Formats: sequence, C-alpha cells, structure tokens
Amino acid sequence: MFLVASLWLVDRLGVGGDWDLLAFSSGSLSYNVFPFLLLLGGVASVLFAAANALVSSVFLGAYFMRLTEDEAADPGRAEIEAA
Amino acid sequence: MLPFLSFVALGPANGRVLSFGGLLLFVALAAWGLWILAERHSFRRALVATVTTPALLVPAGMMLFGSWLLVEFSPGHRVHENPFGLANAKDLGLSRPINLAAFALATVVLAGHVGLLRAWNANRKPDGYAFFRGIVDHTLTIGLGKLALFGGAWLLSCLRPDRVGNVVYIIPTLLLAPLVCAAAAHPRRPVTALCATLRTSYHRFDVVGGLASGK
Repeated sequence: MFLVASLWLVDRLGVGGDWDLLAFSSGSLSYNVFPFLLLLGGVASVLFAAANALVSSVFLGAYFMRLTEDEAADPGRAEIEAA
Repeated sequence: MLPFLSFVALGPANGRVLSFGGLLLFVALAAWGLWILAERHSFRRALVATVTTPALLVPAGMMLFGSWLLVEFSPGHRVHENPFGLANAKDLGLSRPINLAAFALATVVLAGHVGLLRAWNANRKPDGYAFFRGIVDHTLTIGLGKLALFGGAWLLSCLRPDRVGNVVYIIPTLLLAPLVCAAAAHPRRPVTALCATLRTSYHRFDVVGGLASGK
C-alpha cells in the first residue's frame, strides 16, 4: 500500500519530478525511508519516512509471526526447510 | 490514514492541490490499510506488539536517524542503500562511499532487528543483549542476501535499460521479509539461510502475498 501510495503521490504531485529516481529509491531492502528523505524535504518528509519505518517494522513482525504460526500448524514444513 | 495525512502535510507545502479523484484514491488506500490492520490477526498482533514494545521500534528509529544524517551531511549526493546503483542511471548523483555506509547501516540495523524479533518470539526480553546477539548472528546473512538481491536488481536494470526496467527493479525487494526470516531460522549460517530462502521462495512469497492482500 505504501509503495503504491508513494509512487502515485510523487508522480501526481510532481515533487522532484524524477519518476525514475523514485522507482530506484523505492527499491528498499530495509525500512523504506529513502524515497521520502530524498524526494520531499522538510518536516513532512521526515514524518512520512517515520511512518514507513513504523509500517515496515510492523510488517516484519507480522511476517515473523505468520511464519511461526504456520510452522506450529505444520511442523513438517520447518523440518523440510531445515534440511 | 497515513497516505491521507501525508496529503494533508504535503499539499500545502508544495503549493499543489490534489484532484478529487486523487483524494478518493488516498481514502481508498487508507481504508484498505485500516481494514488489514483491523481484521487480520497477524497484523493486529504485530501492530500491538510493535507499538507497546518500544525496543521493537528502536531499529526503525536508528535507521531513520542514520539515514537522515547521511542525507543531511552529503549535500549534492543521492543516498540509497543499494551499493550497486543502476546500470542505466549514471546521472543520479550517487556516491559509492555514502551508499556503502547506508548499506552497512541498514544491514546492521536489520540484523539487530532479527535478534529482537527472535527474543520477543521466544518470550524473552527484547533488550540490548538480544539486539547485539542479532548483529553477531545475522549480519553476514543479511549482508549477503541484500547484496544478492541488489545484484539481481542491477542485472534487471541492465536487461531493461529503460523506465520499465526501473519499475521492475522493485520486484527483488519483495524478498526482504523472506530473507529476514530465513536469517532468523539459520543463525551464523549465511549460505544455508540463502539456500533456504531460494528453496522455499514459493511459500515465502505466498505468505508475503497473503499478508499484503489481507488473507
């Protein structure tokens, strides 16, 4: 959701006007803070980057939790993965 | 809600007015996000746990503050955590040393985050020791995995050196969560963890898709 919203937001508002850079910056492998720190500027940029960092943390926690639940429901899967 | 708030925050700052359709899109996205958070058990538990356990917010805060410092103290340069950049984007003003610093920061912080998640999942206190153990146990795995994924993204940008390539570039980043969880399952065994990520990629993608679509 945030990725889509980010793409649309910057493309629509034309902030920075660099769609290619946005796609590049959106390819995050951590907390997705750079698109906003780079492209927007000001307090709004920090706020939106913080929101993305929070959502990324929640997503990682949810993913971790879901895998744990899946493995508890299907112990064989964990054994296959460990093999 | 957050995209909507961002509209409120960004609109006046940039002197632009959103169209009615754009506003509707933001509201729809916000409603979708709230529905996921409200209806899905995993998201709800994760949201409550993350917000009520300050330690789980520390990695994101560290990354945010570190990234802000890098951006503020490298004027004239674009900062990104990808050490390779893009094959078709030589004019982005990327600085390799700064990007390597961002890469290292993100890797260490994510490894510490894995340590906190493991401690929290095992009903142990997610404290500084858990963060440190995460860094010791998972930094190599996370680093190698990120290099592999960013390398794949760079290859994609070589194969499609146009705007389509830059958009497709986002796809490898969907493997972040699977990589983090594979690292957690195989501490200090980076090659095993990477192989597990590849071997179980279908299931792991399925979980990512399920979370994103609210299954």
